[in-house]
Amino acid sequence: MSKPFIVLENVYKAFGAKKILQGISFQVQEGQSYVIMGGSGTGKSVTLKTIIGMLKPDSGSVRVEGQEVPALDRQGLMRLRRDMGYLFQDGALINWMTVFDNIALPLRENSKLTEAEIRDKVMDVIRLVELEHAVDLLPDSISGGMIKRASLARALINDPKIILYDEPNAGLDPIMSETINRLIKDVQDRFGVTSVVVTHKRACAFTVGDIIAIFDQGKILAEGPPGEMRNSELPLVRRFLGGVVD
Amino acid sequence: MGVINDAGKLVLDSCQGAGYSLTLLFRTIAALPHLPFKVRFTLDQMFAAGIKTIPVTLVVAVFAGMILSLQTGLELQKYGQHTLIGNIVAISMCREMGPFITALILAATVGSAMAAELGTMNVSEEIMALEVMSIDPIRFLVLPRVVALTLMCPILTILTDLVGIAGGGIVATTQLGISFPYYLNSARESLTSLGQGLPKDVYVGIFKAWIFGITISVIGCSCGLRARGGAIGVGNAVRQAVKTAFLLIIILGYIVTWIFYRLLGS
Ligand SMILES: Nc1ncnc2c1ncn2[C@@H]1O[C@H](COP(=O)(O)OP(=O)(O)OP(=O)(O)O)[C@@H](O)[C@H]1O
Ligand SMILES: [Mg+2]
Repeated sequence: MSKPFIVLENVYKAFGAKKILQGISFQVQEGQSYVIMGGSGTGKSVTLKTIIGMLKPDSGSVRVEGQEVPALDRQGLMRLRRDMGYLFQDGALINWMTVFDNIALPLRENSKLTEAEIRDKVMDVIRLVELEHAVDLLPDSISGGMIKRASLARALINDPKIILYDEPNAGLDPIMSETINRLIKDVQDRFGVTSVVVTHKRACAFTVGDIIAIFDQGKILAEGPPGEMRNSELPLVRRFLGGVVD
Repeated sequence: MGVINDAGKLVLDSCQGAGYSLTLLFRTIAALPHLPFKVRFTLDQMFAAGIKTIPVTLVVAVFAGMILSLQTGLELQKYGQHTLIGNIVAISMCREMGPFITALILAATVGSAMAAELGTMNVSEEIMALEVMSIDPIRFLVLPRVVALTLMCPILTILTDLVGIAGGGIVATTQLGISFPYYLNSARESLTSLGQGLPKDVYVGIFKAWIFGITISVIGCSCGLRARGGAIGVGNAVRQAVKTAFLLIIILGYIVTWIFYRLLGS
């Protein structure tokens, strides 16, 4: 239960002259859920993208399941990514495919399952995220909350060991937001996945987080278990986590 | 100073674009063994690329044939040579006009659509999502599009040739006083005069169309995959795709003609 699954050490990343990550280091243990909070543009999405190998850090080490991600070749990355799910900030469902086809896509492309087996698996996750009524709709014609749930379903379809969530409940109403929080928690408890969750919502952080970290100016300002963070004296931490907690 | 900078940047961008497009072409060729798993997507694309553009192609082809026939016919009439109109229309349609018109239509409709589709997918992180799911965007998106257009462009070109010749015939009969059977006969004779199985004018034209099909689709996909920055980025990608395709169609068209009629002799 306490093998480090994701390890970042001294990660730096800049785009041109714009320094984004300036020495990020953290570890996520197997089965743990690590919440990242921080202002807009502090490099939270960039951090997730480095973990899954879509962006290469300028320096520093990113290890997932013991493998040095930036050093992996195409094949290695593909193999690693089979174990990972990624929930994009805006869903990133394929716009010309129905919800069902979107969720089935990873299986159709990368597994040898028959169409009937795929159907069963897809319907399982669709029931989990309660989207039975939307299977045949296109992403354009469903609401933001449904898009988030559909892309959560797509991230879950491969039974990943690791899921990276980029603002799973941004722009949702409080009720839908809570539904998503519960779903994430549910997935963690049921399947024991390791997760990294980027969020602006303290309710989300406290519901799903085992560790909460606050990013500021390309560094981790503070990190710790929710109880500890709640009582932090640091002003920025208080701004993100303090006040009324529901 | 600004002008020089801009010009330099333009050259640099063009070189990068060309490099990217060539790499994309080679990677698409390398992905060909996966085509059997992409038959459905390829057929969808063939439908979108081919069948849907048939109406506009027909209209343009018939008028192109008519214009060609009328312009040339009236000029020839001055010298009493207008009976040659069948030969002239047939040869110019098959050699140059057919592939050229078809390619321009496809670049403006299908190539631009490819750039827009892939560009939109790119700026909304859908392409990245594919990569995260270990799905190769080249196999999944580019391969079916390139194969579809590479097959459809020659097919549509043959259609354009036929319809254009027919359009020329209508004008020859109604405006130049040449009987339709006579016109058709001279058209056929001019194409088969060398006595080969497949007339050179026809197969060079089809070869050109094949090259154009590859060019338009690879450029469309390449511009789409490089689109950055929201709706504006997609707009730029589309413009770039159409512009580049037009230029390449003209240039490659000349090169192919030169190779077959000059280098390899006529
Ligand atoms: N591929 C890229 N090329 C250039 N700049 C980039 C790229 N990706 C991100 N950036 C820049 O890096 C900065 C941090 O981006 P990032 O998406 O990680 O922010 P974030 O912390 O997720 O913010 P938000 O809460 O708004 O999503 C931004 O200023 C962004 O413009
Ligand atoms: Mg972000």
